[in-house]
Amino acid sequence: MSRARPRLGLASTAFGLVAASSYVLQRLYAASSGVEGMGVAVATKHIPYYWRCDLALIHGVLAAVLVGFAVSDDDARRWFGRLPYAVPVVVGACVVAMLVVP
Amino acid sequence: MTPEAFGWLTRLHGHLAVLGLAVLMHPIVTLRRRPGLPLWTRRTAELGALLLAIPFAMGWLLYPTYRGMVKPALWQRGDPALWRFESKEHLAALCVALAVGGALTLRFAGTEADARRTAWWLLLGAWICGALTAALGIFVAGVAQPGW
Repeated sequence: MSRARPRLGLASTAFGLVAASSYVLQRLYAASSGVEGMGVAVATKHIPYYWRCDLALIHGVLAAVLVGFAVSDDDARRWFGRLPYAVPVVVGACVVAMLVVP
Repeated sequence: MTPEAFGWLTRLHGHLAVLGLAVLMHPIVTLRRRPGLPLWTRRTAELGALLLAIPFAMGWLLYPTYRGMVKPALWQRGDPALWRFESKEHLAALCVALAVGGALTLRFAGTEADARRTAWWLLLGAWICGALTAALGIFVAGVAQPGW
């Protein structure tokens, strides 16, 4: 196993969390603002799903790049000390939101 | 897309996703039960993420045909499968994002205990999203068929 690179590890975590959160926030915003309401979500001819996934991917990559450049290895270790408590909350909220708002 | 291609792709899509979920169980279990980061824990996390990303991409290929050939009929008769399908695609997107994030976290920082715990939560989240996706997918596939 090669030497640990916590900074890149934290960037990877940021990618996963930000991409997932971005997807959920986009869907919730679209549903609440009426841009893509419950009926429109299934009746449009264009495909909002592709846009949401693409934007979530871009947001995740941007977050990863920012964290990768802005955070030192020592700071990343400190973040990893807190993240195991934050990740289940974020992921749980995302899952529940997407089950409640299809 | 031809009916044959749609049939093949939907089956491959589902089977590969289930295989990915089975592989992803390995790092989820071994990260909790074994000390450190065994080589195969990291490898199966990456393989699992890849095996989940491939059917996700296949879903993108299937989606336009589903919207054109299956969704309108579901919409007309107000079938609940319509909404379950929407939840399924949301959860699939979350699953892939979390699985890739977790696998890469293990790759880059897996020798650190706190990073392993973070990766474990990400992979577990991905697995839960994937399992829900699979359950919803089976339900939808059972009632929603193209009119060919």
